[in-house]
Amino acid sequence: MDSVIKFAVDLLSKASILIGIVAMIGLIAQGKPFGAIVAGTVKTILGFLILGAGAGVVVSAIVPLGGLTELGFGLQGALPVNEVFVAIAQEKLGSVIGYVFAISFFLSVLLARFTPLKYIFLSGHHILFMSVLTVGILGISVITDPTTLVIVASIITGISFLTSAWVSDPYMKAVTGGDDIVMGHFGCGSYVLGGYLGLLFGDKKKSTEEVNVPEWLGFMKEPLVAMAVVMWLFFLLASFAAVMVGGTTRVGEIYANNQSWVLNSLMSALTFAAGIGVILLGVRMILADIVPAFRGFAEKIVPGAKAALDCPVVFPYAPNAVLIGYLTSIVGGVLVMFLQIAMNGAIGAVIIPSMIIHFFLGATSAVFGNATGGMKGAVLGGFFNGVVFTLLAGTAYVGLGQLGFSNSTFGDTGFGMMGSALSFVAALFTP
Amino acid sequence: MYIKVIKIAAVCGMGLGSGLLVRMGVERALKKAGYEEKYFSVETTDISTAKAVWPDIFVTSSEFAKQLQDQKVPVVVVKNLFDEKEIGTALVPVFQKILDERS
Repeated sequence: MDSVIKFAVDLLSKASILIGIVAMIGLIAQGKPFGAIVAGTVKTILGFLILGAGAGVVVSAIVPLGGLTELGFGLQGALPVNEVFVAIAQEKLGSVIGYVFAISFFLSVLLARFTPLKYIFLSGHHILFMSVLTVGILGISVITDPTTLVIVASIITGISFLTSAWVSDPYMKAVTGGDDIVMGHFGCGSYVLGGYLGLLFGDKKKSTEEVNVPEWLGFMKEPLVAMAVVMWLFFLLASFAAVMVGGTTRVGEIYANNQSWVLNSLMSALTFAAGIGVILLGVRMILADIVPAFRGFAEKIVPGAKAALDCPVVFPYAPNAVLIGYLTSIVGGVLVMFLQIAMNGAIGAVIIPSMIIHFFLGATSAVFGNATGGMKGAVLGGFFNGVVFTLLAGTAYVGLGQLGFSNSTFGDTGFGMMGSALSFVAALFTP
Repeated sequence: MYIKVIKIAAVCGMGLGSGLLVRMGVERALKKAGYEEKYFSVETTDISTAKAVWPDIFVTSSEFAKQLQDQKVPVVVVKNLFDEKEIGTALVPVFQKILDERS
């Protein structure tokens, strides 16, 4: 009997199996045929395992970057890519993530039912990311009992879905001209800031959509391609600095081979992007069956609620602002990175620009800025998104760093706000 | 009668959030238009791997339409990714045409 209980406990302590069970329940509740239930459940579990495999590829590619920046600049740099952080963290934090992922969503649906905040948060990847973040910070340093951890993390995470959607509501009306959807994405701090700056300094009659944006920049809109290209530049820069300080032999040791550092830089950047591609496939498979089930459930409990959706839903409203925000966000992020280097740790870790965050958050902030303040609003929105999320990721990394997810952190403004706040509280309770 | 499933790819930048919204919209719109689920399958994909999927129809937003149009696969462009009616209006004629060609 004991061995049966042990088997059940061991089984449910695996995040992949637990999420698979959540998907299975969802598929059964929707009345799907037997074959679809089996396929959906297995694919969800496989997605989790693919996520882990992708993390291995990405980590093998970014480990040398840590050694290079330390040798070249005497500093530890961190790369804010949520997907990577989650992929590494899920192995260490286990099934608690699975419980928080499901419970926080259901809690937010119940809150929407009984409070005036009638929103349903449908961005499954951000539900997953925020669950991992709260569990990660609270679990390591403050709350050791798993049951308490699940309850506290679920409450904080569940509330964050609704508040984030709520702050975006008035600006989403300005962007879409309708009243059906709000933002379900943890970049809302930046988006609202963009909208507000546009209101203060801009003129919405001078819209971004009346200027011409060069066509050749289009390739930067493919996140995997942009990641590969820009990461190569950063690997080249870090390798060059390391060669200047330590010579080619020591740089070869960091890359663990005797090939040219130019070639090593190129291969590391490409391997990194390839690993991100694998992780994306994993996340996609995890969410494919769970999100439709969540949505069906929520629509029954809170009929008529506004859907809180992923940020690219606003891109078609101002395609030029998307590119303008992307570019100005990179400028803001790079400026803050130099500031972080100059301050030598006083304002948090050094955050290497992540093209995924600059693209999605920069673009959306600019769309919000454009809706309230035209061109000027878009430029300000994008630029200050880069500034704000890079600063917050730097301070949040200090808290996350204790988890030992070296060189990897969260990016989006909302994660930075939550991460920095929880790290601060955690520090108060840590002797 | 042998049924050949019509394969639809819902494309966005990362294939995570908005692609999944489009997928759900496509499924609902086609069911509302009276098509049974066994006639179609919808897959979410990101812009970089979309072309390797070889679907019968792409559904995406205006940003990515240009990058997909060089293949011989029809591209259905929607503005409001959450609007089932808009998706249905744009998609159903294309879907019906492929269905007619096959029967």
